[in-house]
Amino acid sequence: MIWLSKRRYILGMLLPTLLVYLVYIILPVIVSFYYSFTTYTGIGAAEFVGLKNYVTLWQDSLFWISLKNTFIILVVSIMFLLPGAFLLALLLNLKIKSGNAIKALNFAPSIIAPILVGLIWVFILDPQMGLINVFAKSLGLNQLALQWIGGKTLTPYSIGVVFTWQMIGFLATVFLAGLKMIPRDVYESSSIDGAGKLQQLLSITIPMLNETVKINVVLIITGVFKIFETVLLLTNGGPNHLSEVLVTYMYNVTFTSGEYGYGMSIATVTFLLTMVFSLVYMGLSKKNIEE
Amino acid sequence: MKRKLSIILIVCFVILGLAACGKNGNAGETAPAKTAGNSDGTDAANKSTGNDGNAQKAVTLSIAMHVANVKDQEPYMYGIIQKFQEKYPNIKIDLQGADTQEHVKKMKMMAQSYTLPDIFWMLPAPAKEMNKAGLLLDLNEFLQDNPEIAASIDSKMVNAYQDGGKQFGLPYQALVTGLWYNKALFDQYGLKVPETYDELLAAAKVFKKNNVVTIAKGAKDTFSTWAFLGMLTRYGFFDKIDKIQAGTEKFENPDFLKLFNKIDELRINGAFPDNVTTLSYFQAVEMFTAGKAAMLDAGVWETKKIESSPIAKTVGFSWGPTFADGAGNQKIAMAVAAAPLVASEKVKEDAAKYDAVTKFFGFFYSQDGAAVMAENEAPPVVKYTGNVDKEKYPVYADVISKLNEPGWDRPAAQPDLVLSEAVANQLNDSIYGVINGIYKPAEALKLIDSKVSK
Repeated sequence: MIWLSKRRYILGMLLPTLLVYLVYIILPVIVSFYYSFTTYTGIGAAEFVGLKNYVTLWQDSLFWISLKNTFIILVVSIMFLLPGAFLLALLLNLKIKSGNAIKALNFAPSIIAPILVGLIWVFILDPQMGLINVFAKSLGLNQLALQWIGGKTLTPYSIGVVFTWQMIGFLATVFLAGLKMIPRDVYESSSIDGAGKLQQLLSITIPMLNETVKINVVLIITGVFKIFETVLLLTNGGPNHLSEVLVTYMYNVTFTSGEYGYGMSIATVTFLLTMVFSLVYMGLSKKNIEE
Repeated sequence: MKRKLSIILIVCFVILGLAACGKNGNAGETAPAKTAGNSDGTDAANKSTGNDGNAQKAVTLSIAMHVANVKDQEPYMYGIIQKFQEKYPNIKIDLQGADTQEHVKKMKMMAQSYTLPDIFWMLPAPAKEMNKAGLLLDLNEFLQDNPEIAASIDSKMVNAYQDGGKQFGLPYQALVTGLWYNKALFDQYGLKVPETYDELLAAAKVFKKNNVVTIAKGAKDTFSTWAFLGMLTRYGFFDKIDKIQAGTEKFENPDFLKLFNKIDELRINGAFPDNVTTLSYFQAVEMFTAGKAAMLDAGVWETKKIESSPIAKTVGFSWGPTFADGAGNQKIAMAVAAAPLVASEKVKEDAAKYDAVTKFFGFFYSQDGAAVMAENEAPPVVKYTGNVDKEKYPVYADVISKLNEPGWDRPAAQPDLVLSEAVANQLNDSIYGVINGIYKPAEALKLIDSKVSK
């Protein structure tokens, strides 16, 4: 194995993957960035317009709506998904009958294609034929039969709930892996010292899961900024773009309106926001650990 | 040993990587067409004889369409291709299909790498751009060589695809749009099938009281605004559009505002489904064919579906309401060129391929091609001399009778098809904005103007 540690062999081993990464990830990002400074329509030559697309973006109310919706989903997800996944992992960590089957069931929403997730939830959230409203009306609770999707306000919150449902099993599995990594003897020692379950949770489990929490928060941030199919299926961004998120709005501008240049400026901003959020969060959490 | 194994693995990965990055040899050109009636897998076609008796070189034409399943979704195109291959056994068709948006995206990408299919369907605005970029075949020569075809297609439809002296495409199909109506529902509530806006509004009020949807629509698919685009022509769209595009007139003008106010009035009076915002166009069609809506905003592409539905016997087709305060001619029938069938400029580099392309266009616009269209209940692009069985196809017969009704003028195009993609998209969005109750009429028009000025 000594020869494998030589730099030229390591480089040789990394090169194919690096090439694929450069060609399929880095290069498209650079190309998108370039097109964001043009009025490209998808055909013919791209005309360089400098920062015009970014100025338009700044003044585009629909961009701000899609950004706001993305943040609403992010906040809903962090509020419910993170603690929910943690609590679920704690439950899954208990030695219970059919534990493996329950773990598999919890993971199921994560392996369903997002397009199907959207389809399933249309039948739950639709104001006219959706399960929630039909059920509420059948109980005489008409005031609870709201416009969960397709209205002016509730759609991003509903999407946040759908995203939570979709991701909770996956994030719980990540938490569960983290829980399994915590040495048993730490709990045993604390028990001998008289620590109760709550104390163990607050003083051992949560601090020792710090890295796992960090990974899950980054997964939520990147996941939320990538939401596409669910919105497409639930509302297609409507009514009139009021439920667009950044990616669906970018898609609409780029491929439906044929404004490739402007669409790429939205893509660039989305990319930068995701990077900034993830890096800032990682930086802050690192600082907390050091302190 | 490990070192050798590692080197072998690296070499394998590199080879696989290069193979994946390499040109795929254009599978479409080598694979026998799935749709080919004569794809027997032999080389017999290589030296086959056409009907003209001349030994001809085997040619494969790639055709790309805007629907995922051409056989089911565009059966007349599929049928024409089958018949064409029977007539010209040396020409194989490699037929590809993708959903409209996906198809347009794919064509744009292929345009960038100069790998466009030989013949393909395209939206008018990007087709015009492709023509400007010199990517499309000029079909003037084809029309000059086939004067009977040139004479059999409505001149407005042919002119719609001319730019810079080039005939960059020919109409793929007649875009015939308006309002389908279920006469049984109108009869049930003692209403007249509306011919004017006032009659439509009166009907909407009665239908609302009886929990019947007046016009089935689905806002999730914002492209489904056909009847309202037709109404726009009754407020002088084609008298104004040049000025609007030149910047001397605006979408937010008194005439268009009248129409948008009327759309708003229809909304207030419950003419549209309560859940219009979460309905798709396809759900709206289902709503109509299930007898739950009195009217449907759509086109004749739904003929076959309606014909096979339980309401077939009571369905009729109308051009939509006329307006007492409209601008210009009110008797406008939206029967125009839909989108062009275009050919790649590159086919000219290969004489056999060019010949095959012209043969295909020749067949498509022949009476044989029109007969296939009629068999599949699609309105032929050319003047069709055949008959329609009224007993067997009552819905289609009604459409054809409307098309032949005297006294109705045809506009140059459907309004959104003369606009850029961005403006057309905003126009649809603004119409739905009013239907959804999200935009006030003036606000909706202002949004279109802001797109035009961009």
